[in-house]
Amino acid sequence: MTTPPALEIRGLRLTLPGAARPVLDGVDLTVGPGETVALVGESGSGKSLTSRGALGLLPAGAVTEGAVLVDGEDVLTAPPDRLRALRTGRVAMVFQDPRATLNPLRRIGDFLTEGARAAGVEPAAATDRATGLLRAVGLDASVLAAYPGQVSGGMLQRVVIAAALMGDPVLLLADEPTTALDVITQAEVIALLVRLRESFRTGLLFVTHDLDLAAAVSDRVHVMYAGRIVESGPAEDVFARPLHPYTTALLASTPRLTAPGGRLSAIPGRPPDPRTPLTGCAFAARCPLATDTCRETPPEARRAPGRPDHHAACHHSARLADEGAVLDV
Amino acid sequence: MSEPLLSVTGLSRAFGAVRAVDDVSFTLPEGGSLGIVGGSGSGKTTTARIVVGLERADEGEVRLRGRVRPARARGRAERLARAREVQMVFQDPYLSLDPRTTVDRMLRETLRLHFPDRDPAPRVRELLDQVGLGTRAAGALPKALSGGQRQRVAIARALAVEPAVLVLDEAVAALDVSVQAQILNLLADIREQTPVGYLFITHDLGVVRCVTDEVLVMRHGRVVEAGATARVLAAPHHPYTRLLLDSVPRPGWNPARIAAARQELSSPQATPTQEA
Repeated sequence: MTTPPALEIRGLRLTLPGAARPVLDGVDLTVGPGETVALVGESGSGKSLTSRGALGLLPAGAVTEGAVLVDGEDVLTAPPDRLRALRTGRVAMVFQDPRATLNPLRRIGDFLTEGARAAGVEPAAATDRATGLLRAVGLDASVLAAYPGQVSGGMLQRVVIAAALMGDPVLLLADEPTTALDVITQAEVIALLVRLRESFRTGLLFVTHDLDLAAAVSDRVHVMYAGRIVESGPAEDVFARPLHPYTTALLASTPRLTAPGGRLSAIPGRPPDPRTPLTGCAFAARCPLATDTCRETPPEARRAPGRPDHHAACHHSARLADEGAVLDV
Repeated sequence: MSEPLLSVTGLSRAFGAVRAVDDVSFTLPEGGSLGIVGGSGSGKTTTARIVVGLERADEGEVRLRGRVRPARARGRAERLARAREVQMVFQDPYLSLDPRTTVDRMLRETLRLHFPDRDPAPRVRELLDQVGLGTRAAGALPKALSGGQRQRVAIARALAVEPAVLVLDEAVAALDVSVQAQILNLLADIREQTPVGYLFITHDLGVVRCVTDEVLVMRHGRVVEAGATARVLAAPHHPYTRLLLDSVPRPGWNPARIAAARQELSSPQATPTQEA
C-alpha cells in the first residue's frame, strides 16, 4: 500500500524524570486510513498518554524512545512549527467532557471556525464549512449562534466532533468520547463516528476503559496494562477468545446484562505503583496463573497459534488458548 | 404487610418549564434494593436528591417507616435525626471528601456529631474493616488514596451513622471496571450484614442487574416502567426500556439502528421540552 498509515507507533517508551520505570514501555500500534483501533485500559495504564503522544503532547521533561509517525511524519522529532501545522490539520482530538472543551462564554460558531480563521481561511468560507460539518453530524446551522450552555451534552459532543473535522484530519483521536454521555446518546455518537469514518476515510484511535464498547466499535483492539500493550488483535477474537489473563479478568469483572447474577469476579489488588520498578510481568501480582517465571521475566508479545493478527504478552497464553481452560479469578 | 422502609408518593418538581420529576411514586422494602435508571435529564438524580433532602419537591411526599420526612429540618436535633435516616454516596469520590482531613478524622467527626457519648475508636476500626480499608489508609489524606479507596471512604462515612437508606447516585460510574466490581461486591456484602436499604441511581443496566431487586425506568421525569429487575431486563414492556437495553454495547451492536429508534420514539409523542 502506498498511503502511509494514519498513525504508526513503534516501540514507544516514555520515561518521566524521577520515575522508577517508564510510563510507556514499548508500545506498538498502527491505525490505517479509515480504520478504527481501540486502546483499552484502566486509569494509569498509559492509554491517554499514548493517544496524546500522537499529537506530540507529552508531559514536561518526558524522555522518549521509539517513533510516533502521523501520516508518515515523526511527531517526536518534528520542530514546533511542523507540530503546530499537524495539530491544526491532520490530527484532531475529541475529549471526554465536551463542556470542558468549549469556552462557555463564546458562541459555538466561534469555536468551530476559530482554527480555520487562524489558519487564514475567510470567515464566510469557514462558516460555510462549519455549517456543512454540522449537517454531517446531524445538527443545523442554528447551533452556530447558540452558547454551549444552551445545548445538551450529546449535541455538544457532536459539535466537538464537527470541530475536529474542520481541518480534514487523517487521524482522529477520541479519548473516552462517550463516557460522559448516557447509553442512548452514546450509541448515537458512536453511530456518527462510524459514519464519518466511512465517508471521510479518517483513521480513528478510540481510547476507552470499556472493553465491550471497544469490541463493538473497532476493527482491532489493544489492551494496555501498566504502560505495556498486553494483548492486541481483531476485536471479536480479543473479546471472545482472550489470550491474556488481564483481558479475561477485565471481561469477567464487567457487570453485564447477559451474565449470571450475584457477585462479580473482581480482580484482587491494584495496578502496580508507578514509583516502583517492575521485574517480570506487570500483572503477575494479581494474576491467578502467575509462576516464578512471570515474576522474573517480562513476557514478549507472541502470536497466537492459528490467529496471525492476535498477540498476547503472557507466558501462559497457550493455556488460555485452549478452549477448555477455565480461568478462576 | 409491614410498613415499607421508604415510600414516595406523587413526587413532582419543576425547574421553570421543565418538569424534572413528574408524579413519581415507589416503595422500598426493609433491606431492599431499588434501582432508578434513565438517560440524562430523565429526573433520576433529582428524585434521589429530593429523597435525601438536598432538593425540595413541589408536590408529593417522602415517608420513612411511615413517618413523613419534612422538607426542612427545624433545629440541630431534627437535622441530625434526618441525616441518620438517609445517607448519600456521590459519583465523584474526588469531590465528595474534604482534601484536608484524614480518613480517620473524617469518620471520627461524623461519629462524634451523631453519637457524642460513644467512644469512636472501635467503631472507626469496624467501619474501615467493613469497607476493606487498612489502618494505613486511615491516616491518609484523600489525595493519597486511589479512586476506589476514596469511594470506600465515602461509603464508610455514610454507613457511620447507621442510616436506614443509602442513596447511591452513580456511585460506581467514575471507577475503573476492576475497581467497580470490587465496590459492587462490597455493597452486596454490606447489604447482607446490615439492614440498610439501597436506592441505586445509575444509567448502567449491567450495574442495575448486579445490585438491585427492583427497578424503575424514568424518562422525561416520569416512571415509564417498574418491576422486578430480572423481569424488566429480560422482558421489557415499554419501548423506552427496550431502547435503553438495546443501547448497551455488545458484539453485533448496531448503533445506527438505536439512533433511528430514538428518533422514532421521540417524534410521535410531543415532548419538545428537553429532547437532545
